[in-house]
Amino acid sequence: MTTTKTPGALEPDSPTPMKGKWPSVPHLIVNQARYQLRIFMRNPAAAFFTVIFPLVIFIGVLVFEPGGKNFLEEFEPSRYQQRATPAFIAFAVMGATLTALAMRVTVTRERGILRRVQGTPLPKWAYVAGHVGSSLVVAYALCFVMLVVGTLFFGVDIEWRLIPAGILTIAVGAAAFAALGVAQTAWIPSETAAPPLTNATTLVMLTTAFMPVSDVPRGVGWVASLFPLRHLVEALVPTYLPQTAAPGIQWGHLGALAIWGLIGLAGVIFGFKWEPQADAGAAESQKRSHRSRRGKR
Amino acid sequence: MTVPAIEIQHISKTYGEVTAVADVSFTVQQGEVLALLGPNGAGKTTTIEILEGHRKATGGTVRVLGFDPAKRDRQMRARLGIVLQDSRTDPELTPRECVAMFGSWYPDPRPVDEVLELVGLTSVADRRSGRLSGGQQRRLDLALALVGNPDLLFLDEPTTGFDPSARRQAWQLISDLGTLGKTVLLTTHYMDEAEFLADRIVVISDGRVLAEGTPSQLVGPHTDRVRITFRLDGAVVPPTGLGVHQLADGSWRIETRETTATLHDLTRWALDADVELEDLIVRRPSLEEIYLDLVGSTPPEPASEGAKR
Ligand SMILES: Nc1ncnc2c1ncn2[C@@H]1O[C@H](COP(=O)(O)OP(=O)(O)OP(=O)(O)O)[C@@H](O)[C@H]1O
Ligand SMILES: [Mg+2]
Repeated sequence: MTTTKTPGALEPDSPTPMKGKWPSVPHLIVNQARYQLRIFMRNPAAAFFTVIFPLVIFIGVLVFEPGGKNFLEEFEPSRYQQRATPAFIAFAVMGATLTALAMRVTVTRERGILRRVQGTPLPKWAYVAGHVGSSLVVAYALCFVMLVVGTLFFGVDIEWRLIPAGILTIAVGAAAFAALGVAQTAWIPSETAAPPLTNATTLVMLTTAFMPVSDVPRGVGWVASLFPLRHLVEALVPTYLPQTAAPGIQWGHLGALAIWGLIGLAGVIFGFKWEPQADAGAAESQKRSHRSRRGKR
Repeated sequence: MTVPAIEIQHISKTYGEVTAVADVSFTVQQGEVLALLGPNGAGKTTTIEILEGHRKATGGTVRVLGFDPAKRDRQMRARLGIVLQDSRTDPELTPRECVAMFGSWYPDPRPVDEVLELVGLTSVADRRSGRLSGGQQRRLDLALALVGNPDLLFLDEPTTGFDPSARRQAWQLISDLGTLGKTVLLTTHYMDEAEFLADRIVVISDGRVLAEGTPSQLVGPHTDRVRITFRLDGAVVPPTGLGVHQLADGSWRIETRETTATLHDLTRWALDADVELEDLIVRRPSLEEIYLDLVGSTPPEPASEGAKR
């Protein structure tokens, strides 16, 4: 690299089978996460739905204090904002991981970007880890912003002794939802199917998480209590309440989240697809017409 | 003595009832530039993607740099450069970022600026890739194939969408690669491209190899034959003794080994009959004509022509 060379000319080199050094694994993953983060930030729609949208709803709900008969009542008598903030943080974590990853990874797959990456020496899992890593960064940043907004403008008290429990809970929840997000792409057949399917998932998560405690048949309530957002909310809310004894880690809910995470991981390992799915069909029918045209000659 | 860069023996690939590749065998030596030619749907992309490890062959054996590509060995992929027929990159990243990102995955990447320079993207290197023109995006594909400093390049119609000067530049680049001892397997629908770049050509159609050889070997059997073509006004018909036959577009053609004598006979007849030989052309058949004869998309030729090969 120190020699001068004419631009536009290739330098000869020795044809030894393997030159240079493999980039280290942490470097690969951090690098990939940085590029994915950059892509995320240059994508206004994604940034809006992942960051601005939950923030606006969060602030709106805190301002209007709609109350409501969902299971957050259990955590009374603490103030509404004190309960709602962690619930919204849980929702934002899900949006930044499950929803954003399902969308983003499907899009990269359908555009053939994954296929092109497959032809390079980058290990597949390092590429996926880059996506996951960037979504975790966004999730944590969003949590932080919501916490700051809640504290500064709505008088939410931070229970410092419960902070480690809160961080652990968010870490477990974000990891589980990230795994589920990547796994979900296996069920999304095309780029156009991604928004409705991810929205449907979000709705299921929201209804199960914030279902009213009263007026619901027991069986339905029990099924709803299995879903992961519900567990994340139930694990996170106590870490904001003054009456919770330290350390405040909700092991039962964290265990449930971990199981969801393992289900997601299994889905990724066995179901993840690298080739465009919708495109395969389109290309095939295009090729069929190819053949029939040739056949006519 | 060295391992061939690519070795394919009797590969086939079927999709249900569709046979994409029926039976293809060829070998590419290290440092060779081989052009795979054939009509749409011939099986070129299928063959290349089997070599890249993107698809698995139904039958036959394949070796790429001594590896089985279906195993997708990381060592092998570090030495491959790939331009897919249909490829996309993250539209949010700039060409500079894309090239740097891809380069960071390889053990021995080329400098980013050098690669951008090579493919002529320096002036748009900081624009979003999604806003590049079609030809510029194709150049980016080529840059991504080069940045890993590969020993073997698979280029599936690499210059499609290039303007004429960009194409010339890419030709220079690819032939430089050949000079450096890199192996190149490319497909193209441009015969001048194949003729300029290829050390050897393999023509496939309907998933089978039709012909194989250096450009001059392919044209070779025909080189002692000269083609004389011309047009005649109205309903005038030249004498059959000259070996004339009429082409679909109405012009006339003579295939001959004795150019001077045949031309003499032809022009004497024209003078005697007082007809004008319009668009009179005397030349050897081009690679394109040989190719068209091979894949059989030309108007019917006399049987002798087909048998000749
Ligand atoms: N995924 C697939 N499913 C079904 N048929 C396929 C598939 N891929 C390729 N084929 C068939 O295989 C044949 C060869 O396709 P291929 O893409 O290899 O052609 P090609 O020589 O690259 O053509 P072109 O010059 O148009 O790029 C086509 O006729 C097509 O019908
Ligand atoms: Mg093709």
